[in-house]
Amino acid sequence: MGFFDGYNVATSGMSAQRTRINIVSSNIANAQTTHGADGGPYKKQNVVFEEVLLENTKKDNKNSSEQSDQINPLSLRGVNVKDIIEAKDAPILKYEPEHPDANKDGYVAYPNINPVIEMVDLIEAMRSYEANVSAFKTQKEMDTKTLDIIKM
Amino acid sequence: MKLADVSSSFSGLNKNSLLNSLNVNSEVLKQESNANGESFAQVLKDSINEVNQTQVNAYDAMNDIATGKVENLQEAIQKIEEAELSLKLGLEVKNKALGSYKQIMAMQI
Repeated sequence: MGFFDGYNVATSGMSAQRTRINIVSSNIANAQTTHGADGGPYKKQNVVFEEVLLENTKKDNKNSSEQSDQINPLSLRGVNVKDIIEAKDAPILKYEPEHPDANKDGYVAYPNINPVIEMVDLIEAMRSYEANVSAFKTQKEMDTKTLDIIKM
Repeated sequence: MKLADVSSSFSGLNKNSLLNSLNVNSEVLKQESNANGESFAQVLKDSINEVNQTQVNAYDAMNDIATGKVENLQEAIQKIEEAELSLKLGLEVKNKALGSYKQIMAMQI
């Protein structure tokens, strides 16, 4: 449509940060989980973002059919969650022989998650989300102001 | 825009009522056509259809919020905002056109 492309960029940023908040939340929730889905301790997860070219701004170039693999520098770039990866950190071993997940030596593997770092990540993701909301609001205010011209 | 406001207003509003009421007016204008071949009536009709489509999308988004089906709040909000701005633009264009008409009618002969 063109008119709403900026909104799509801001919304894609919001979606990406929302996913990040969800992932950080699950890291915090599972900071003490010794029994993950694969049987081992929970592994800290991280999100990987990728750039996406917005569909409707991509083919602004008239002769795009012959150079479709070339990226139009004018196209708007949104963001998307490419992948969710697991951290390779070694688990923290604690001696708790009576724990059901203890190994034969009596050690329990706890996830290597620092709640303080997770909280900082959470705040950062929240601020990023707010920044995207601000971008959206700015777009909207600009459009509303532009519409005010016609009222004169 | 509060959710309570919109949900109460869209219960009484027929999705196509705006379109139907304006279709009648555009029939009258059909005879005029400009040099480009596309009549003003057609342009008007197309834009109204577009505005109406954003409204329908927004109503669907609001329905999804109300029924808890929404997975992506920000995208639903985006649709609602798009509908609001499209309607505002359509309304202002209509006001402008009507203003011009009134000015012509008020002309001294």
